[in-house]
Amino acid sequence: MNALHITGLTKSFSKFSLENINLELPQGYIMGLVGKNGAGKTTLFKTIMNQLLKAHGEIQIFGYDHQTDEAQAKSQIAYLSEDPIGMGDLSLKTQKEAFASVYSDWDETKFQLLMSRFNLDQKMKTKTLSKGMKVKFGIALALSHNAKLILLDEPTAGLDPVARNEVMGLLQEELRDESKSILFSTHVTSDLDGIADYLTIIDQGQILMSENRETISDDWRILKLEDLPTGVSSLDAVQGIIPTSFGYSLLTSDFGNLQERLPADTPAEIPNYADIMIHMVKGD
Amino acid sequence: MKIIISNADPTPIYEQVVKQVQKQIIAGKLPPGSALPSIRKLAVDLQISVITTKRAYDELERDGFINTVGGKGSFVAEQSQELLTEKKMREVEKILSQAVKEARSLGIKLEDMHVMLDLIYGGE
Repeated sequence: MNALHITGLTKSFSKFSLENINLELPQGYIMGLVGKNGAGKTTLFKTIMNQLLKAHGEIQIFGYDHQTDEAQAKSQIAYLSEDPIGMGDLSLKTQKEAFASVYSDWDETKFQLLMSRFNLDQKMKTKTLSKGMKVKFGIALALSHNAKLILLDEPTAGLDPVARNEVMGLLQEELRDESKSILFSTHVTSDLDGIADYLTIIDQGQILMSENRETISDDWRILKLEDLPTGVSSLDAVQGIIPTSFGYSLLTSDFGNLQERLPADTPAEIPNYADIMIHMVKGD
Repeated sequence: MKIIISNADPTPIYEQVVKQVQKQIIAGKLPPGSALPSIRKLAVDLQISVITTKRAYDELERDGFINTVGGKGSFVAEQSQELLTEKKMREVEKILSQAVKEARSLGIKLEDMHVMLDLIYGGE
């Protein structure tokens, strides 16, 4: 069962468009959506939430269409938007109550637990919170109503490395319940290194790749080449080439098949997520 | 069960998990029937992904080291003493063949290797 299944999604604005987005997130797993600012991450989240209308394509949440079965689809989702918290003068308690009233499955015990874990007090007012505290409060809200698909838009933005690690650990603990799935966006690839099961790169409104980490560690390689053999650069298996001082750094998604066309002693390394980004996303 | 994951180790993470669990089963530290942590708990404890942990368990099950009972978890499989001994021998054989390969490439003779082996085995 897919928690999220997107096919052929298209959405155009005057200066930006999502083009033919295809994405599959199986139930029980966590996917990191990486891209630069302006790549389309937030637009994608808002389109899934039906806050922005799509032009073409299908979005299904546990098999429910996000428009025709909107109520069922949304009852499965927790969504933390990029800037989740509004009104400065309200206490966190008031905000929580407003939020909780919308959900039938509100879990107060879990909320209290997360609040104390994050060192947040319900008497605090939003305007006194740091960026990091706001994000944590938003996460506490999002994780406290038993949603099966958790969508988090930049949950680690504004957090220091310690807090970031804490949030990622928390997300992973959520997955101990195998009915849950998480899609989160980030522009920091190190957020994905430990725990993400799937990596998806979005750039200029297009999905450049979406793959599970075991396939990456089996088939994807970074190769250091002095010369590029003819015809290699146009192969489907070649995902990106960067000229370097010694020759070329090449990213392939199918090392097994490419190997025979390359010198026998070509150094090959398993790429980390930063390597993949650097090779696939064009600079400004 | 004790597992240490190293990101500096070029061995894929799932394989690091497989090897360490195998070793503990072969050495008898994880006796037949003992329960392994669930895939999801182990993933949290090791801070590695669920998909990687699942792959490691699949591999261990395929090689007959563990059994997974739906809804109950994974357990160390019952194995015959012969099979276990054979697995132990195979482990050592693997390491020895690496040593022999290295020795050959450095031009060390078989009799010198015998001496070395006697010395190392007897010295411990």
